Amino acid sequence: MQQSEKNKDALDFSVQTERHKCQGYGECAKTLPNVFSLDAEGLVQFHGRGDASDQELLATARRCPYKAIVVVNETTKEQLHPRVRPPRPK
Amino acid sequence: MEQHIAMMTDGTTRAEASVEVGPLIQPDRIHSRLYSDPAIFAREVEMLWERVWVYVGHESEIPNAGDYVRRQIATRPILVLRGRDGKVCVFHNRCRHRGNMLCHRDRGNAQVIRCPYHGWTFSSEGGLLEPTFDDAYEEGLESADFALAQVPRVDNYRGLIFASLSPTGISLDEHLGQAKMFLDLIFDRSPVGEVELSAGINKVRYRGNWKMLPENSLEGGYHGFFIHKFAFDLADSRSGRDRMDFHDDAVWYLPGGHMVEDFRPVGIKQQKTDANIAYMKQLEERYGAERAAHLAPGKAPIIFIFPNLMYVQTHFRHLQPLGVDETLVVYQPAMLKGVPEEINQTILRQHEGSFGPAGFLASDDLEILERTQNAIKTDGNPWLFLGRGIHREATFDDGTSVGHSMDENHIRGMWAHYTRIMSGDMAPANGGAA
Repeated sequence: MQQSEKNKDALDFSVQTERHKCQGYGECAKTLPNVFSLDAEGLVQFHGRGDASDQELLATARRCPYKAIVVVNETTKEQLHPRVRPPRPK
Repeated sequence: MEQHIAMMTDGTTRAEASVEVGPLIQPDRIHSRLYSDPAIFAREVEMLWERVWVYVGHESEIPNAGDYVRRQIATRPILVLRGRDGKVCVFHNRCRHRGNMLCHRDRGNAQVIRCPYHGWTFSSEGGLLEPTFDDAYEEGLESADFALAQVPRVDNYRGLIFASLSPTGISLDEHLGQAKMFLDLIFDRSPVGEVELSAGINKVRYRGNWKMLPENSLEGGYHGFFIHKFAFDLADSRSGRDRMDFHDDAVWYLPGGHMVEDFRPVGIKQQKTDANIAYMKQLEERYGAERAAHLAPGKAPIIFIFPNLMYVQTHFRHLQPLGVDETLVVYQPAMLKGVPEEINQTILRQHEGSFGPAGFLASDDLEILERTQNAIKTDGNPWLFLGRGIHREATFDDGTSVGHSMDENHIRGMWAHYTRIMSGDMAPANGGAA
């Protein structure tokens, strides 16, 4: 419970949207309507994180089928989503 | 249930289709099983549709990067697509993920092709872009491993795009052979040599075998007297012409299975409208007086390019067999680039009157084909007679034959070619007189 409360207030994560990957499904806008919306072209727009928590941002990014939302932990500089895969062995 | 499955197997797979069509095709008659036997249709898919060059669309339908049209090669759904590099590719219209039909709209523009089932996306060059929620694939997926499958051979003649499901075989140039000269008579009716299928499209399904349509489309001089009497009498009363004037035409069989009704010998009086005069002047300046006379309105040949493309009076027409007794016909008016607007308007009005949804000719024809398909189910003499003009048929060494208007040498030639294709002989020509 304590951990969850801590995450609720944490503001360590940054968000970037990759519009060229967006297919307009709108999972982000449905989940965090104050943070994301679909514009006139039906593609993602990011309005700033507002009062969304780190965990809410990460969970929303994971709902995007096309990995159009990138979440980075700014403290550790680790990209949390999408997962960075090592190159496949040739 | 068992019976249902057996019917599906008969109609849609190649299983057990070791059917010899040779005995069913005699010099002057053909057997009705060729139109009605599901096993023969399955054999056609395997021996014919999966091997020969099949018309799939025209360049003018997909002018921009990302433009596509959805078509079928017999029962195989395909996608004709112009990539960002301007190159036309033909893909099998199935997702590499779970086999769903990738694209279900008839035509459109897509920078990204997205499967409706699980959302996988592909580039207009066919590469896999995004397998959705792909964290579940531990090492990720290689784009190349899941690229859309391309139809192996694609080529075009004057913008007409043909594809072959077979990686090997004769070239499109060999397949078209002498028919190119007649196709040129269509395209050269434009002073810049280009035709655009930009005026719209009408599609009709008829409950009949696909082979009935080219037979019907290329013998209009004969059946026209009967099934199109009303339309022809009406046209003659308006124009002051006599339908019999057209009967100086010649019918050609060309090696490769192609048929032509050639109106160059026919004397057709041109109406002296300003647009017609300006148009004829354009043609004479571009091609010279002699060739221009062959390109004049009313002189365009009726052409069948084996196995599924036709040009008839106003339009390119192609067929896609959906089963042994069901066929899709697509009519697309051919607009001439660079002509006075009135010339194209005349073509469109004629097209609507003859082949549009309320047109006289197409509805007559398809109704007759459905009745024939129904009637050949009955017992009795199973043979259909094709003996017109057989006594005077002139056949050249390369297999070309020519006959008078209303003769059936061209249809007999097509059946002889069909017999060779169905027996595995892919050569374009007879290799000598039949």
